[in-house]
Amino acid sequence: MAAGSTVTWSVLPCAGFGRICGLLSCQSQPRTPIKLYSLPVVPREIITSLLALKPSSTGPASQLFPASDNRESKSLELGGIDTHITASAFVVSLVAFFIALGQLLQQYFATAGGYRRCQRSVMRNWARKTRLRWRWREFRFETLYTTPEILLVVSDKFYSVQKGDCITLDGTNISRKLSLVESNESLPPNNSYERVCWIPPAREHP
Amino acid sequence: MRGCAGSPLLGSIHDRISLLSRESELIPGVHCVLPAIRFQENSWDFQLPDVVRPLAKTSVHDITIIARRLGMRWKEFDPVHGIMRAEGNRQISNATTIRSLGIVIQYIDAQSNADGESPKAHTFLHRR
Repeated sequence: MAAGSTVTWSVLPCAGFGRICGLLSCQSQPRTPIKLYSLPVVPREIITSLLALKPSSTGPASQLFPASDNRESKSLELGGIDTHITASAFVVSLVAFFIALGQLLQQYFATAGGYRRCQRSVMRNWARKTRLRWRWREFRFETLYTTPEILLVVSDKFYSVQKGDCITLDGTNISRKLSLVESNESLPPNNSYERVCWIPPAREHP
Repeated sequence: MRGCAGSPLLGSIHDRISLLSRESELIPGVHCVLPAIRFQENSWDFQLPDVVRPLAKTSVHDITIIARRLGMRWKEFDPVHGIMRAEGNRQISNATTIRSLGIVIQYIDAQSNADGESPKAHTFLHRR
């Protein structure tokens, strides 16, 4: 491609310059050659800082702007400023990227309704079984929590703490651990209670 | 019947009924009836707007016996109309009816309050 004649999409060196040309050629079709005189009058230093390239004899900037000794020396003098501008722009864009990423994640985690009501402050150890499930069809999180179903079971001579999917509450450490109950050491051992109902009444009345 | 998984009631069952269970095992030929739990995973999508915390599940039959074994006496017992109240042994259970849901029972253990902690509250839901 001859310098100063036409610029096509294939020779655009980076996304920044491509964005400029894309904005300028929004009314034309892609892959259509763009006349160079359609570019606005932009100082060469700004274009160079956007490209983050130092002018060279073979680079695209030199193809767009035929090099002259005055401009070359002026750009070399502004090389330090260009580096500072590039570095500061990179830092600002990086901070903006992480903020946008955090907002995106927060937006999707906020779709988990009721998740904050299934935490440890509400459910104690049972909050360990709270989880989120991603639903692709609705593009959101679903909160799944686990609660106990309390029932009475009859123990036989083959007594065990865990029988099938039931866990017997017998006060032992293994039972407390399996039933996700914290141990309560403050309760006095001789706590008064009524000993009723543990033997079925039908056995007493034949 | 569902209930909050905050486990105050489960802790009370462990503390108060466990001694009884271990003693009953020593009696030959006696099959003792013990409280037990079963894990149930639920989705918050089906939670009613009036309910702001997870509820455990049990039945009227089971909670009636468990309350007696915890040392409470039923002062009022009319589950058909949603009236259930038990007191005793420094514990209180009170029922509240929620429309389209059933009976929710709140359990308060004053034993921990005497030790300087806040009263333990536990809620249950009875599905009719």
